[in-house]
Amino acid sequence: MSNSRRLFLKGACIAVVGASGFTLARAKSTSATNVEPACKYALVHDETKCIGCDACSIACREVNQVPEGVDRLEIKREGPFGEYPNQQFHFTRISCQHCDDAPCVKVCPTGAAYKDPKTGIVCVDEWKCVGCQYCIAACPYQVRFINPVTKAADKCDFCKETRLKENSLPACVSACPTKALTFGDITDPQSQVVQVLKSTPSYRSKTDLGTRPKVFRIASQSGEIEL
Amino acid sequence: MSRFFKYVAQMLISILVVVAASTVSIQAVADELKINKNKQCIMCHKRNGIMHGVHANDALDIRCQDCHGEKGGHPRKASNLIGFSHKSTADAATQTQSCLKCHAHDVLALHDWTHDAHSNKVNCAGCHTLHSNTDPMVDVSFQDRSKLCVSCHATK
Repeated sequence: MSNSRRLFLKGACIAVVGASGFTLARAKSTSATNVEPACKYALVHDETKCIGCDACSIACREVNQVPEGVDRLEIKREGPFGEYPNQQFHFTRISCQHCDDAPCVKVCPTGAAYKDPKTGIVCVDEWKCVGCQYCIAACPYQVRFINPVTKAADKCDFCKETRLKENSLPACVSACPTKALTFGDITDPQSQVVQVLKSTPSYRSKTDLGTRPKVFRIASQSGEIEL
Repeated sequence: MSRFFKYVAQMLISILVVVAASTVSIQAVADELKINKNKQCIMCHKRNGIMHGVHANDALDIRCQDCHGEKGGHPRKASNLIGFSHKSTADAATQTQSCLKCHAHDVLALHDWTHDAHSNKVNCAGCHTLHSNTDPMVDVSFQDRSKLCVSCHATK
């Protein structure tokens, strides 16, 4: 009787030591993958080339199965500026800015909102999301929404789960007829994104908040005020 | 089996008759319209000149010449006739001017912002069709509309 109890205690001790050792080893190995050099995906929207045709948002909805009524990507139109018949419009891309220091990730209580360490893309783990909407409130760009189908927070993820898995460009980038969108790794000095950013003046939205957004914009002509 | 075949044949014939009758009646209605009795034009342009749809309406009392310009020496000698297509010798500004006689640009802008963007730089017939019964632009889907933009704006 006492022998069996001793045996049980010994066995339990071994199991505990083994399990803790295994978790420690796993934690070390995962932290090792964190250190490995990551790429940082960024997007440039050339507003001088954008014609507001909505081909990007249509492609996005199709590829990512975004339900009607919510948008991962929207093109906001302003205008017309100028006098008829020489009028022009401005188009602004409304979508996730993939902040390097993302407020949505910071406020998420369950860890559903996270920044992918390999790509720098801000993503959502659907199954972890409890729908508290803290991220929606925290996002300074107001691009997050609750997906009516999955009931989880949703937004642009540069097609991480769809197009990037197939080694192709995000749906919006390949759909754009005027090549107004450039996508790539900003840590790679040879990438097209870096070349475009180096050769053309660009701006980012709400940089004063310190979120370090990774969607760059090339500004179209100034509005109605001419100096 | 033969009874079934008879039934199907009857159905098909009746459908054919209905379709034929409707096309004939549409043609007959079009022929009755004032604009299509314009002998000067329709004598030769019976195939490509017959006007259907809103612009053919008798109440509007439009003549071919109102849009296309006066006949002048056409077809043998010089004239100032305007054709409405990308093949036309008239430039986009001239073509749009003809439409703008009735359609105020600020009203068009209320319907769609692209009217302002293209103004007199793209001819109206680039997107719209006027002789047909219905203009495909009237109930164009969001997707088809985008495809139409892409058809001109695509860069290689």
